[in-house]
Amino acid sequence: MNTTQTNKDLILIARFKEGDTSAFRQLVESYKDVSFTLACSIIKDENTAEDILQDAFIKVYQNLHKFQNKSSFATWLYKIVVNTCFDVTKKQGRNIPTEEVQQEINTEYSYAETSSDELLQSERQAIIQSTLSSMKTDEALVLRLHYLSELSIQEIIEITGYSASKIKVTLHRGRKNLHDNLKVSLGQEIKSLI
Amino acid sequence: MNEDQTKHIVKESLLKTSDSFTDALMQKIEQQPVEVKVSTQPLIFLCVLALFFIFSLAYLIGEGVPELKILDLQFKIPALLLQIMGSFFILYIFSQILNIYKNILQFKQLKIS
Repeated sequence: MNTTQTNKDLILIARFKEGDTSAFRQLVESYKDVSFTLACSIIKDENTAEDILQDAFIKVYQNLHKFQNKSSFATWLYKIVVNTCFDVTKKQGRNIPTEEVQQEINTEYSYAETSSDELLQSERQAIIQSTLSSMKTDEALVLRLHYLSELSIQEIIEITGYSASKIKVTLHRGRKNLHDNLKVSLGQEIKSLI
Repeated sequence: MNEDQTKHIVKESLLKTSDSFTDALMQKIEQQPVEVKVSTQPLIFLCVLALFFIFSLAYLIGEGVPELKILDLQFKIPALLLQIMGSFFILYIFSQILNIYKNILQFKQLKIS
């Protein structure tokens, strides 16, 4: 994790503990997008993921005075987000089957056939997001925790409860599947992406 | 696909929350009822122990007992040691009560702000 960000978090947490709720708002602003992306790795529907993320942030608000800096705030927050999402999927079975999402993506983004000269930035992002949504929950989650949140294997263990070997295997498989899925969606256009 | 390429691609998968996300969240938080959970069981236990020590200390000081003999055994506790332990124990109980009071005030302050 970034040391500057960690120090900034600690200052904000100290301010929150002294009763300044605007500090909590700043923490939310700093982490909401990454947290939302992680939530979407588990809850495949964005609207539902946003609602669940709000519940997770409420838990963070209620328990922030207990935060003792044993791990970084980011690790602690992502653990709450991931656990809240998994609790919901367990209770309500909101996980959309991977095959369904894959079908949607194949129909929405068949760029291999359109063969446009250059992919627009927004299109690139949409394709990547959809490809990751189509992947298995654990693969998308571990890939995003490692590459998007820039967390170490040890921190991912703390958040997910997976073993180190499982994380390494999932990362390897995730990278391969990401590449294969992008190849299916983009065909030759994948070269412009990498 | 190597590590850097994967990192580059995954970074592009960042999703954004709706514009009203933070405002809606803060509004939800304001509407949350404040729950102050104070477990009374340990407090009652500590108070009973404190009373025991206070009575023991009062007895030892009042009688001028130099050593406390338990059940006529060879086991003797110097009264001074018991007095010191008792004093620390009472101080600990007061600090615990103060902590609970501080937490309640903190919750109330958070709710107001």
